[in-house]
Amino acid sequence: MDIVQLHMTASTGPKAAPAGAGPPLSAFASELVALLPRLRRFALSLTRSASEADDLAQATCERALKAQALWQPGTRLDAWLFRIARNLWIDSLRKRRSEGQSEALEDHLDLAGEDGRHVGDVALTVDSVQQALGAMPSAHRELLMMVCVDGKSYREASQQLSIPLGTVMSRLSRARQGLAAKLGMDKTS
Amino acid sequence: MTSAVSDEMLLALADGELEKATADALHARVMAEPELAERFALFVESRALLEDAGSSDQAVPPHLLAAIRAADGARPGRHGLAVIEGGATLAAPAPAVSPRSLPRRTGWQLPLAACLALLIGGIAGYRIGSETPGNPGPSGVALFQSARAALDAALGSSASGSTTSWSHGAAGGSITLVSSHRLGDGTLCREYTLAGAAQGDDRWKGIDCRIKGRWRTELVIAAPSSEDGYRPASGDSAADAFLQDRNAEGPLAPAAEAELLKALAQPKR
Repeated sequence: MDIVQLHMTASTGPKAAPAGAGPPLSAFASELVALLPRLRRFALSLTRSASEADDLAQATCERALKAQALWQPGTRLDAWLFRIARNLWIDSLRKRRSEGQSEALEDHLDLAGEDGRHVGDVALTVDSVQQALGAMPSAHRELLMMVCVDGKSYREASQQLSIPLGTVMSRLSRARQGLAAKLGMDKTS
Repeated sequence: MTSAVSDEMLLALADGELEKATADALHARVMAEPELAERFALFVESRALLEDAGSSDQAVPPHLLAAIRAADGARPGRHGLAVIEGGATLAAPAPAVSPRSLPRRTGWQLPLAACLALLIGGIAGYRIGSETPGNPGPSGVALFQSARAALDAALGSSASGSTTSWSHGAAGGSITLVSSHRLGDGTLCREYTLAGAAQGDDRWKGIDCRIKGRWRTELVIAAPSSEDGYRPASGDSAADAFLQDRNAEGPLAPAAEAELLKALAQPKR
């Protein structure tokens, strides 16, 4: 006769855990983990500090896990995470400025976002970016793809398109702002 | 350095096109002026959205994964354990979490206590030392997870002696209520057998007790897989020992059981 304590075996769920010990992650958390490299890079671009980027990425994931019921399935989870991270970061900067005691991002991140603003209202469908790109001037689209997708430098883009570097920058700036506006990202939190 | 900062400069900062010294100085100013930070973040964000999703495979530091794992596990209703221990309220879809109502944290890690509570609060862990040659293995656990919702329904409404079928996705089987008991402290417990229809699915005898408004699995025993009917509770020493140990007064009469089930069906809280 087998008598068991369920908690000894309950972690044997059907879903395989990613690398690392412990119980399997929820499906949502697994998706977060898959997006972590991009989230970290996003956070690094914002903070320009590896440790602050990891703090921000972690805070973002924790926030996302808590508020996962607010994420709309079928929309881009990466866009949602980026928006949470961005809001957390900007809020931490505001707090840092108004409180001024600590230079540590973490101290301010921790206090941020109890009013729900951080959990973004950005709900991008998978093809919304493509639609936004399709709706913008072809010169803007071309430059956006060249720099943001293909990873070309401004100088390379300038040479390839035979336009001055200054034009690359002003055009790219307008293109990015136009994209953000079309995607509803330009509203401040 | 209080002059206006152009969009082009913020763009170049976001795209990593500035010399390090220039970038550091501008970024310091961005950090100090949230208005600049918002404009800057827009450029970072728009690029991140366009980037090829499959372009980065860099390793993620273990502490970050551990933090996610901790936050994931601490979420009620998401943990693998919760399904088994929980009963209907936890087996139901996770409720919408209002960030407004979330408690303030004092550190990065969610409280360890939240994880431990899942373990301690779960199973009463009844064990008879020499009679525990094994455990049910993954199939048994999976069976209980799959059948959880149906089990909750049957425990709350089916009279002892009745058999109901359950299905969950591709899985399915039957639940037979065996008996109801009242423990010395008044807790209602029900003994049942759970069987899966698939080949290789075992039969399990279980006891769930009504604790804090929901059914909690207190005991699971592998039952003989023969189909010649369940044996009465009195023939099951482990289940009996569990119940006697808790001062159960013996199987409830059908009328008393019906009365209690009726009470359970009343709106709670």
